[in-house]
Amino acid sequence: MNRPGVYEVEMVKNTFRDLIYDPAFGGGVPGDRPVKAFIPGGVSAPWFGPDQLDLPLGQDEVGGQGSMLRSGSVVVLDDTTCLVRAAWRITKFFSRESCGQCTPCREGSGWIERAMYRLEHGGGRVEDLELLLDLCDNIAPGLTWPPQQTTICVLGPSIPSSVHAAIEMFKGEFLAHVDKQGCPFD
Amino acid sequence: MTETRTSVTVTVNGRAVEAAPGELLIDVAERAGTYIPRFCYHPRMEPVGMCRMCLVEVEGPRGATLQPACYQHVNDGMVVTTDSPKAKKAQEGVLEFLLANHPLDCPVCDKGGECPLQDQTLTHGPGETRFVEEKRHFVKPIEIGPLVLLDRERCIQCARCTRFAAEVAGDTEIAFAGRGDLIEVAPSPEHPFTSVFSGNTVQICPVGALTAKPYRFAARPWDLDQVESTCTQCAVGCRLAVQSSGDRLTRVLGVDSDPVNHGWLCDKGRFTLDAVDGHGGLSDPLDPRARITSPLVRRDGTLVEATWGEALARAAELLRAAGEADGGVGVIGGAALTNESAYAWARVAREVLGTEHVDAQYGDGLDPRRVLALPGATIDDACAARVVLTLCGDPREELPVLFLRLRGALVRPGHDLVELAVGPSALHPLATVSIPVRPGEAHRVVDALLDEGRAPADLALDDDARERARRLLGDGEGVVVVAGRTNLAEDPSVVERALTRLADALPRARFLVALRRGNVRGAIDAGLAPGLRPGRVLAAGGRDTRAQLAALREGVQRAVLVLGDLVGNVIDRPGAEAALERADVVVVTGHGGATLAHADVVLPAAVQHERAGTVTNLEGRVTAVVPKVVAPGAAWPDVAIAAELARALGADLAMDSVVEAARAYESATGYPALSVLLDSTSEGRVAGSPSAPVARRPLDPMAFPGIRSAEWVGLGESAGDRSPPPRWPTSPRPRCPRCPDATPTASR
Amino acid sequence: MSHLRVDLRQRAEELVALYPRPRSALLPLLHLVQEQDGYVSPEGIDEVAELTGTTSADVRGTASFYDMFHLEPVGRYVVGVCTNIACLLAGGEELLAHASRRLDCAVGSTTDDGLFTLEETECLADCGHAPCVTVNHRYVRTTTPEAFDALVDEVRQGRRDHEIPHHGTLVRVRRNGGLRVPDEVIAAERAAAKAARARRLEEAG
Ligand code: SF4
Ligand code: SF4
Ligand code: SF4
Ligand code: FES
Ligand code: FES
Repeated sequence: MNRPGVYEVEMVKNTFRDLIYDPAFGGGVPGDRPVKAFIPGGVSAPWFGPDQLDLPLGQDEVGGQGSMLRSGSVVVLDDTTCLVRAAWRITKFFSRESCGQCTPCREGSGWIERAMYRLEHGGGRVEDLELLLDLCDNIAPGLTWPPQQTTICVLGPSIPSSVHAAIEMFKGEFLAHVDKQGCPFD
Repeated sequence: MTETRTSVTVTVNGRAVEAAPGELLIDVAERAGTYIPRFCYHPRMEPVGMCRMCLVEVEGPRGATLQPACYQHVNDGMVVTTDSPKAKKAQEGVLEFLLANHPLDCPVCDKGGECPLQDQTLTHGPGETRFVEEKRHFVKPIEIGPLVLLDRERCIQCARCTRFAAEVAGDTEIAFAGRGDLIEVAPSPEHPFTSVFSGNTVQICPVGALTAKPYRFAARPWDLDQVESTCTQCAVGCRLAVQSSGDRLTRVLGVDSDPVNHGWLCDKGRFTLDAVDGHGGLSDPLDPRARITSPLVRRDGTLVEATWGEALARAAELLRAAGEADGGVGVIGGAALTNESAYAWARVAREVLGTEHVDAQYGDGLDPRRVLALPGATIDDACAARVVLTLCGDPREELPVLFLRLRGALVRPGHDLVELAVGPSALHPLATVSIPVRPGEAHRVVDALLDEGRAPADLALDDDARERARRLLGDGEGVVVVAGRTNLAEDPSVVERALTRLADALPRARFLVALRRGNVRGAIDAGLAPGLRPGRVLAAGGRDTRAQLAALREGVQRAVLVLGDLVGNVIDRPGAEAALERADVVVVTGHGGATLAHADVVLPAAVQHERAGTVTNLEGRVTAVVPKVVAPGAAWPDVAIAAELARALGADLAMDSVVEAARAYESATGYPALSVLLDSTSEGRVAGSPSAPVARRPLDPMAFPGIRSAEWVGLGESAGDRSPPPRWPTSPRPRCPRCPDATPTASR
Repeated sequence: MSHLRVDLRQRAEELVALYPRPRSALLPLLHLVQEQDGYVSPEGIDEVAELTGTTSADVRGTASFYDMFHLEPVGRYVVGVCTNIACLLAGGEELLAHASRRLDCAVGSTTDDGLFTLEETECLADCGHAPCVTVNHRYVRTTTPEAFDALVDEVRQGRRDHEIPHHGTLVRVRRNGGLRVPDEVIAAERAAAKAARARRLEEAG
C-alpha cells in the first residue's frame, strides 16, 4: 500500500476498491501493480480476487461471498507476490498460535505448514494439492462457509482458509512450484 | 410444577437407547454396544474433549454437526450417528493427525501389543503414511521422577496424566508446557514427579509415552497372564490385576472397583513386586527384603536349614512346654495374612495352645473392642457424607487411595471437612474447619468441641472454629468420622476416648476406622485380637502386644509365636528385643527381618500374590486374593502351616485346604468367605451391610490395558521396515540452544 | 525468604488480593518475576506457585505458553522482528536475516556479549509500519537494514535507555497504582499524537 494505516470507514458505504485506491485511504498499490488477491478481514478470512474489489465493506456482503470482515484488517497481495509463500506464512502463524489442546489443530496446522514450506522450497509433488485439501477438510469438514470444525475452537477452521483459497484461486501457481521444484518468483 | 425426567431416549445409529439425563454420549453408546474410539476420555475423570477421536454426528437445529461424544451430555430425542461417512472421515483424520508426528517405535515400545493407538490404527487407520516430512524430535525417554520415564515423541497430548495429577491426586507435579505441536508433559525441573500416585499416570497413558521403570522392557503383553486380586499393602484393599510372565511377577495394574479404588493404586501397592521375589535372591535372614525359603531351626546359637518335620516338631516342643504354665504362651502379629490363615492361627492359639493372648496389631493400632463396636461406615458412605470429620494420621501417607477417594468427594460442593489436625495432612487444604490438636489432647479437644460453654483456656481453641465445627456436626446426621491412631508415641486411649465421646454426642454419626495394616481388620474379625474370639465375640482377658512383651520380659510369658516381623514394626524396638531375647520364639514369615535374630524356629510362609484366600479392608469389605506365582523354595501358605503345627501339637483343625478353612471361617463367624473366594473377581461384600451386589462398570480398555488386545493385534508389521523418507526441504522448527538435536523444552 | 524484592513482593501480594482466586494473578506475577530477573527464573516460579497456591510445574507450564515470558536467561535487549503476512510482504524475512547477520546471532539465541536476543515474532499489531521491529516490546519503527544498524549502535551506546529499559521492565500503567508518569509528559504525548493525526488528514485532503 502506498498509505498503509488504520482507517475509519462507514459500513457498507465504501467498497474494498475505495479502501485500497482512495487517496484518503490506502492510496493504491505501490508501483501501480495489479491486485492479485486480497484478504478481506484478517488472516483467518478466505481470500478474494480482483473481481470482488467492488464489494461493499459490510459483514453480510462479505459473508455472502464466502469470507468475512471480522478484524477489518485488509491485506493486499499484488502480482509480485508468491501466493504459496503467503499462504505458507499464514499457516505458520496458526501453527505457532495453536494452543495444542486438540489434535486436528495442533497436528494439522503443523503438517500443512510443513507441506506448504516444502512446496515453496522445491519439494512439491502434484499429489500435494489433493493432500493439502484433504488435510484442510479434516479440520473444517466440507470446507464450507461458514465453516464446520473438528476442533474445539474456531482457530481450527481458520487454518485452511488461506491454503484452500490459494489452491482454488491459483492452482497454476502451485503446479508451477511443482514443475520448477522451487518458487517461480525467486 | 416441573417434572424432572429420570430417563431420556437417544437414538444411536437408528436404535433407541434409554439413558439418564446428562449422561455422556460416549458412555450411553458403549452401553448400547457401540464403541466410539477415544483417547483422552477416562471414565473416572472429567471429560475435556481434547483428542477429538470420538467425533460423531449429532443432529441439531442447523443439521448434523460433528461433536465429541465424550463431551456431549445426552438429552431427550437426541439423534446420533457414529458410523456415517462424515463421522468416519473425521475420526480417521484425527488418527492420521495423531500419527503424523508419532515415531515408528512399536517394535521397541513397551506399549506394543496393548496399545490403543496401535489397535485403532490397525482397525481403522490409514495403511500408508501421507506425512513425508521429518517428524518432531525430542530427546528419548527422560526421567521425570524416580519411577516414571517420559518419551515425548510418543505422547499424543491427551492430558490424561496431567489431569490425573491435577484433578485426582491434587498434586500437580506434571503439567503441559509449551504450545502448539511442541507441547510436552513436564515437571518443574526443580521438583521431579515424586507423587505417591505416579504409577497411575503410566497405567492410563494411552500410548507408550509414560513407562514405569520396574516394568520397562520386562515383558511383552502377549506373554503375560493375569489374575484379579486385592492389594494387602494397606487396609484400603485396592483391587488390582497381577500379571506374570512365566513364574515371574511383572506388573500390577489397578482394577476399577466402584466401591473401593476406582482403578487407582498407590505406588506402594503397585511397585512392590520386588519384595515378593526377594529382590533377586537376597538370602540374609535378617534382611527384611530377603525371602525365607526353607524352615530354619536354631542349633548352637545359629539358624540352620531344617526339614519341615524337624522344624514343626521343634516348634511344637517349645510352644507346648511354655503352654504348660498358665499364660506362658501367646501369639503376636498376623495383620498381613488372609482371613483364612488368621482364622487358622486364631484357632491354633485358642484351641490348641489354650491362650487368649493374641494380638495382630503391633501396639500401633487402637483397641478393636472399642473402635470396631462403633457404628461403621463404608468408603462410599464417607464420600457421600455431608461432613467428614477426621481424627487420624495423614491419609495420603497411611492409606493412600482412601485419600484419593476422600479428596474426590471433598472437592465437590456439599461436602465439608472438619479436621482435628494432629499433624500435617494432605487433606488439610480441603478443610472447612481445622482445629489443631496437640499430642495427648484429642479427647479434651473433642470434649471442648462438643460441650457448650467456654473451652479450657490451655487448649487455645479458636471460638469461631469451634462454633462452626459444632454447627456442621449437628447431631451427627450425615457425618462420617474417619478415625485412626494419630500419633504412635501417644497412648491409644486418647483417641479411643475421643471417639467414644463423639459416638455419644453424635448418635447418628458413623465411623470409618482406619486401622492401617494390610489385613488388620480381617485378622481381628478372625480372632487375632485380645479379648475378641473369631467373629468378634467378646472374651475375657488376653494380653495385647504391649502386655505380652512386658510379660515376656518379666518371664511370666515364656514363648511367643510371631506371625511376621515384630521387631521391624513395633514402636518400642529395644523393649521388643529384650523380650524376645528371654523367650522361646517361633516365627512364621515369608520375609527376613530383625525378629529372626531372636527366633528359635522359623517357618517359611507364602506372601501376597502367592496365596489364595480372602481379606477384609478397613470398611469391612471382604474380597479375594488370588495367587499368581508359586511360593519360592519350601515356603507354604499359612493355612497349611497352621494345620500342620496343630497336628504336631496333637490337634486336627480340619483345614487341609483354603476352601475348607474358608468354609469353617464362614460358618463359625458368619462373615463372607467361601462365596467371595469362589468368585474372585467380585467387588466383595461388606459383612452386616445390606449392600446389593454391585454391577461392575465396564472397564475402560485404556484405563486397564489388559492382555486382551494381544489376542487380535500383533506388532505393526510395516513399522520397522519402511524405507526412509526422501529428504525434503524441512520447515525450520525452533531449536533449543542447549540441546541442539532436540526440539526445545518449553521455551520457544 | 522471598526471592522477589521487598517492593515487588508487596506488589505481588496486592495483585493476589485483587482476584477472587489467587490463581488468577498468575500472569501478572510472572511479569513481576521477569521485571526483577529479566526472565522467569526457577526461584521466581517457585515463589509464584507459593503465592497463587499452585505448583511449580503448573506455573512453569503456564509461563511456557506465552512468547513474552522467557524461561531461560535472555539478553538485556530482546529484539523481535515480525515476519507475519503484512511484514513478510514488506520484507520482514529479509530484515530478520539482516538482523541475524548484523548481530551475529541465530534467530532464537543471544549474542555472546549477552546484550541482544533475536526473535522472529508473529504479528505485532503495527502492520502499518511493516516490517515491524520491537526491542523489549517497545516499538522502534525501524523498517530498513540501515535503520536497524543505527538502532543497534544507539542501543549499544546506551542512547536509547530512556525509552528502552532492560528486558522485563513493565509498562508504567498500574492498576490501582495509577500512572507512574508525570502528567506533563502524558499531555505532551497526547498533543503530538493529535497533531500527527491532523497532519495526515490534511495530506489526504
Ligand atoms: S506401541 Fe503404541 S505408543 Fe508405542 S510406538 Fe507403537 S503406536 Fe506408539
Ligand atoms: S504422556 Fe501419555 S497420558 Fe500424558 S498426555 Fe502424553 S499420551 Fe497422554
Ligand atoms: S492404597 Fe493401600 S491397598 Fe491401595 S494400592 Fe496402596 S497400599 Fe495397596
Ligand atoms: S475428545 Fe472425546 S475421547 Fe478425546
Ligand atoms: S504482520 Fe508484522 S506487525 Fe502485523
